[in-house]
Amino acid sequence: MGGAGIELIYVDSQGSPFIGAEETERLILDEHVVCLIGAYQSSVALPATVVAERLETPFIVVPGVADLITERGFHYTFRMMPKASDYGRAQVLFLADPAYPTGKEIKRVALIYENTGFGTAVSRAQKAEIGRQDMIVSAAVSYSAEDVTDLDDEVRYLLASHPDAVLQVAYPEDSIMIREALFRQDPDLPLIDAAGGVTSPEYIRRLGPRAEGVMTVSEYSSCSIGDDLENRFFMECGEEITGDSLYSYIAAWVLKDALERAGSPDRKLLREALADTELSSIPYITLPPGGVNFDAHGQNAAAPLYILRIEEGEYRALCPPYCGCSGVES
Amino acid sequence: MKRLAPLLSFRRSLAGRLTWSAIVIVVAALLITGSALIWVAYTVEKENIYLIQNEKAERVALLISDYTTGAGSQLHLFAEAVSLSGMTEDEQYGALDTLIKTHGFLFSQLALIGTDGYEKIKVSRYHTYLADELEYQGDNRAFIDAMNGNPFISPVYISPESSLLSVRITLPLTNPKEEITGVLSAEVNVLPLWQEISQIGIGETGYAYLVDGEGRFIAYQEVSEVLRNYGADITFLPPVGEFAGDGSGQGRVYEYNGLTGEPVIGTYVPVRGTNLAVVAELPVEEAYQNINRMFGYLVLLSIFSAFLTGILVFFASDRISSPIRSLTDSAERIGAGDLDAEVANLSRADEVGILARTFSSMQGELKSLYRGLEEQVDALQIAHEDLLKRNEELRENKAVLLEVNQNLARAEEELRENYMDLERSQKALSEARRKLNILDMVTFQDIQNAIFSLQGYLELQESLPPDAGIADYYQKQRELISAITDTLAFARKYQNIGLHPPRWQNVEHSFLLGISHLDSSHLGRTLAVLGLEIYADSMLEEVFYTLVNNSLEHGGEQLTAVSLTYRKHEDGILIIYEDDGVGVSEKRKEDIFSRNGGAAAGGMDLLLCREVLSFTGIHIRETGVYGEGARFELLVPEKGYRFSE
Repeated sequence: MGGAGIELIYVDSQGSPFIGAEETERLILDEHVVCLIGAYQSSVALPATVVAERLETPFIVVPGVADLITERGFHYTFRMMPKASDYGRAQVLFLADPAYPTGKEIKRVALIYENTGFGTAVSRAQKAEIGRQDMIVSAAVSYSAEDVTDLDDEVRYLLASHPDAVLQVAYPEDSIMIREALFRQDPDLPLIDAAGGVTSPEYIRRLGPRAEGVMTVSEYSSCSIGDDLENRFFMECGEEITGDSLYSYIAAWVLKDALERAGSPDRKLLREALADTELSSIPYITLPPGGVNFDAHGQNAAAPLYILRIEEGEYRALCPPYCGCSGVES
Repeated sequence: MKRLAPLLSFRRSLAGRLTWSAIVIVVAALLITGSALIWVAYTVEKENIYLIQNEKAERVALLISDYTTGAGSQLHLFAEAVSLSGMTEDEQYGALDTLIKTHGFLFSQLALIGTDGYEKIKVSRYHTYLADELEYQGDNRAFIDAMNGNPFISPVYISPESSLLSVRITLPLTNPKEEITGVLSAEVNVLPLWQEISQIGIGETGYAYLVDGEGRFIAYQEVSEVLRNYGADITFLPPVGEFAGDGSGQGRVYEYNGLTGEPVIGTYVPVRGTNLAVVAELPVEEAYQNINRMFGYLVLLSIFSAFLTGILVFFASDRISSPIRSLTDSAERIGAGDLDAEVANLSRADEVGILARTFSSMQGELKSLYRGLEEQVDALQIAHEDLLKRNEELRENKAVLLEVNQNLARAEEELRENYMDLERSQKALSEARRKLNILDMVTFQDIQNAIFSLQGYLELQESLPPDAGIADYYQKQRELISAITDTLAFARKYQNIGLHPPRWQNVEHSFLLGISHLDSSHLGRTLAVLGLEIYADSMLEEVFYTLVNNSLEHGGEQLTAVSLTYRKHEDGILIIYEDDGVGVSEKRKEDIFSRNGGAAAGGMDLLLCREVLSFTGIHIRETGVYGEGARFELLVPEKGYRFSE
């Protein structure tokens, strides 16, 4: 690209699908951006990527995880992070793992999830995998994350089914509500999140000791990135780096790599370059085996998932074993 | 240019023309035959293309039809196999959820709608519907049709929930008594179908798309295109227009600018059981690829044939035309003057030999003619030189004649001038005779009067006593005698007028000579008539004498200077004599030139001046201002003056 720089333009969807779609159109038509990266909510990413597809502009989705995002046959949509169903599957596989840290066999699993594409897709994957793993869904309850003020009733409903573990799919606020309700009614019951609210820095900060023992699926573990990046991120943002942030960082490098290979800001050429991505290393981070590459649907085919547990106010990686960090506890 | 000469020669040569003619004939024959073959191939190819395209379109149509009817059948089987009406809501939810789960991506959403039109249960792959998110569907056509016992299949649409290409199918749910207890609604995801359709190749670059019965764009293998143009009216595309019209065009193949804007061959096939049609388009470039390839081969073959024909015909024609070229060379040499050039091929028995021998004979004739011509040229050369000499002599004689002619012209001019002088002299002479008559008359009358008076006085004197006042009579007689004397003096001057013919006179000289006897040394004098000559009577000096004398006699004490100048006038030139004396009063300005007036002033001479000057057409008049000086203007006519060098 002859040393050309990348100019970043930030917009805030405010969590609104309508604003997300509108801002996407404005960025493409008025600001003439060559690529978009975002959005946090799947409900925003879904209409935003429709606009981008219509206007033939590449959109790298991060961290929106709803399965549907890459299931519509779109050519200009790429996703960095695993699909929502992968999170649900990872949760259940973790429970079914003989090396599950609690040592207690899990048979009855209660599900609680927010009702948008994210929660619905994860819960569907959970149910499907539970069916395969000789477990049963003791209870399942859904709610609208935008509308709830507390989740005591929903948690009480779950506990009434005597579950061995609770799998949740929630955003930060409702994650805290679920934990608070559960802590009051059965604090020792295993609770595993799908990398929604539990990975948020707010979670430990607000819950304090009540957050201890809560587990979550995560797109990264601290051992997969160097201290340098963590420190730089902390210095810059004042917070610990999260899976969302990490994949946003990777997305920027993916875009840079594709632009250089396209040799042009032409959107069609850039889309071709993104589709051909074979990124094996980037600065300050150890990419998983397979690096970054997209399948025919634009989904990053080599996105790993980890299980983290909050211990003494910090996240500790439990599995998969290849992460090479603390390994699986016995 | 010398290098080009052989090429130009070849182009004009017999071999060259034969070669070009053969090339043209071969290429033309190839083009005609090839074009005919291509046309036949084009017709067959077009038919094949249509058949292939139609087959593909029918496959696509069948696929869509099977897919949608298959989805409908699945739904129908489910509704019949599972007695939804006898289940609790949780069981119904579980059944619908299982149906979605077990059919992969086929169903995006399932809903159970009560007979009152309200959704009772709604299960989606992409959203978990809570109780307060269920909607009223009573006014939906899909629900109304199903409630009337008719299954409903919607056109393909983009799902607002999932953005997936979808169709909606609704079925009535019945109890064992065949009573409708509700409606099962399903959103069927047709994206997998479309991905499958896109795998059906229509040639290498062809494509298919779906339109509805009103000619609106519904689906295409490029999702972005669908998102941009879903529902757009594309009846301007001929197959779509035909389908949206009366459908009479089915089975026809059209050539037009297709969906992507490039020229295509297209046809449509309706999708059975729906109001949709599949339009298959194949770019013309690909469709006629074979024809174009054939055309390319034909062009290459034509070029190759032209090249090969050119070489073969050239060598063949060269063998034939070589002897002719040899003759041509001989002819060129003879034409260039080499009459001894050797003529080849004399011994040949064919037409070339006859031509060579005839040419050799002509060469002999030419030699003979050339010698005769050379002799004639020598003779002509001598004659030419003689003519040149004569021409030179004539040129010299001409110069002499020109000089003589110029002399004659000068002589003629002198004669003309002499003649004019003579003519003027004759006029002057005639005028002199007239004046002499006047003089005679005047002189005679004056003398007669004087003598008559003198006789009277003498008679009176004789009748008087010797002392009685005789002295007075003596006085009278002396006066008479004086008058007679004046008259005779005037007559003497007057008779000189015209005595000598007029001539060209220098004005300044005449003036100075005229006043040489006057004592005018005390007067200032200005002369500004240098080189001026006028044609005037020989008494011109008298005129200037009279003018200056008048100034001396009548100018008074204030007289100090006289001047003589001239200026141009519209009728000739004006010579001006002026003094600064008393001048002439207004009433006497003309009288001074009359006989009586002149006599009264004692200036009889001014009349004489006017007469002298008028002899050659010069007019004199007095124009001065009384009290400031006299001013006499002499108007000399054109041709009456000149300037000496």
